[in-house]
Amino acid sequence: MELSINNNQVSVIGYVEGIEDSNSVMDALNSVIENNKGGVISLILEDAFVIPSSLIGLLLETKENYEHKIEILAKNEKLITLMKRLNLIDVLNIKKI
Amino acid sequence: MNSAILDASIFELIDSLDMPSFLLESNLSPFYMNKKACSFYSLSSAYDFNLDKLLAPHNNVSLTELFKKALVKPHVLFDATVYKKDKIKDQVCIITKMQLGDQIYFFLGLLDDDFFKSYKELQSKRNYYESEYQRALLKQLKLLQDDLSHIEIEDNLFVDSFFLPLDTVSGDMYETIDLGNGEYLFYIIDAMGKGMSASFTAMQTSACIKNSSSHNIGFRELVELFLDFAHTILLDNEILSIILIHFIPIKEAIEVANFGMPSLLMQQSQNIHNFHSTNPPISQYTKTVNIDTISTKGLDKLMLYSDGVNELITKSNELYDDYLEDDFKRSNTLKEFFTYRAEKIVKNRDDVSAIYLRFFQDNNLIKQRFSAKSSTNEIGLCTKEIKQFLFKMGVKEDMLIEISFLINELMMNSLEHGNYGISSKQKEKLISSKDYTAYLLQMEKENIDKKIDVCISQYFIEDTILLKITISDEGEGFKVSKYFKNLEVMGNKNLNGRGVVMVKEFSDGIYYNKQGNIVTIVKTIYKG
Repeated sequence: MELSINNNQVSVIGYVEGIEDSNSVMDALNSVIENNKGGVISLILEDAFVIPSSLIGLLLETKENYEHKIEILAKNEKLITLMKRLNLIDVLNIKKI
Repeated sequence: MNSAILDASIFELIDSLDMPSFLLESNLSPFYMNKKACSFYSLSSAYDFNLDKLLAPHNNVSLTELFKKALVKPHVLFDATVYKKDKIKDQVCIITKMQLGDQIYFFLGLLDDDFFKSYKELQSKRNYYESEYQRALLKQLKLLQDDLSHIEIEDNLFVDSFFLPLDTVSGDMYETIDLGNGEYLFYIIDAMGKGMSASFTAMQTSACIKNSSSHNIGFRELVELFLDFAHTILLDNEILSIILIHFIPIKEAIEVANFGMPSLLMQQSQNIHNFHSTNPPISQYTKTVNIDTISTKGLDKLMLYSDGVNELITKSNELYDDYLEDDFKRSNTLKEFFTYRAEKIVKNRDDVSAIYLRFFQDNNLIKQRFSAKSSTNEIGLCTKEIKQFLFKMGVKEDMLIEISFLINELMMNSLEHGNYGISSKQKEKLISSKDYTAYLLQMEKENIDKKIDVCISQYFIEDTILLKITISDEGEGFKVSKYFKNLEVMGNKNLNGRGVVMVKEFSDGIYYNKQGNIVTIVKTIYKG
């Protein structure tokens, strides 16, 4: 898994595997949140067709406590289907790109 | 405009409406209007009219804008949802988007206030009944005793069930009961009809079986008691179908009482056996009971099901029953069976219930064991080791990611809820208070020597290669049947609890031992 940060965007290339990767994604997202001066924060998942439940929990918790808008942009249709099945599209503000 | 794609019934429907009604193309030009509308506007002038001008709405919201809004909010065909209530010439406007073939149309109806009020009342009544039906289904699920689904009931013998009502509540009812003496009872009831009345019959009769089965009586006595009870609740012209199976593993046998249900399907050493019903459906006049005893020696799998599974038409207009045996034979789990079935059918036409027993014979297999101490770091290392092993086995990348995801989720569950003994509620609280990571570190120090073991068995079954992955921890376990029931109604804002749902989604089957501290997943990795 590779992470890149660009202004308000965190891009994840490859697959998020396990708690270690989940924590790295959250560290990157939290650093963007800390430096954010307004505007929507995007987490872009380039390849992932599944994400660990630990990451879902951390994302839900962050969205709950953070007042600004966070969106998750997913490229893989399979991930969108999974998130729909988990009823998380609206809760996590997930969009297909 | 290609009017050929419009069903004549659409015009009949519009003609039958009391309100002035129009059918509009997606560019908003009027295409058809009923007599009531013609009395307001002549068809010729309708073709010329400017909708915005003629039906000038209030509040400066142009009707064109209204349609544009409707365009970006796709809706179901003939769903009478009101997109916008707007006063137009003292009338209320209902706009519904319709998809007919490839074309999008809008239905525009003009209603007076009284009509609108009645419509709203009807809608609110509909909402009330829908929510009541939903509660009735929850109650039905609550009453249903499913001790054995997702359980490895004996060494290498796994149980699964499927239950899908056609209406909100079901005339089918199934139960899987652990009789507590190393024996098991499975049954599916199919009450005549569908919906609420059938569901009353199904629930009443299942209560009788549940009650009788707790009294440690023989199978024949149980069936006869059930028959007596059924006589007291069935109407003159009513019938009830049921299949009951008493499984006695120590004798390697099942006793079957089948009253008008579809055949029991069994596969033993690659041979499929169909055991037909030997009793008619139960009516007030049923007096005798035939019970068959069948050997389960060399059993690969067994499925009992209601007629909603096989009596329906496929996409190619054939009876699905003709494909049932093939799909059963190809499947290694119930989920796989229903995946093959879903590829062939258009939609269900009846309540659907099935119980599936799968026995994995311990031959033709390669086994590999892995182990991790109780820390997230150790789990990460162990998952990597397993991934390398699977890669050397020739598992392709996408599949490799899926399997390593499944193993990681389950090992994390074993760590957190098993070896660390953290309950779901406790985890939710710790995440909310941001104390979770620190708590995990503390638990790691206290429990590092507890182990999580992984065993991967590779099976070669005809042209299929499948993996059976077993993960065991040193925790106390949990009540499996209650947990899976609760999963169905889990809220979407919970901060944890999704791991098992995702494992269900990506594996072909997930099963726990009765204690709940050993989990097995099945995953087909190659199909020829």
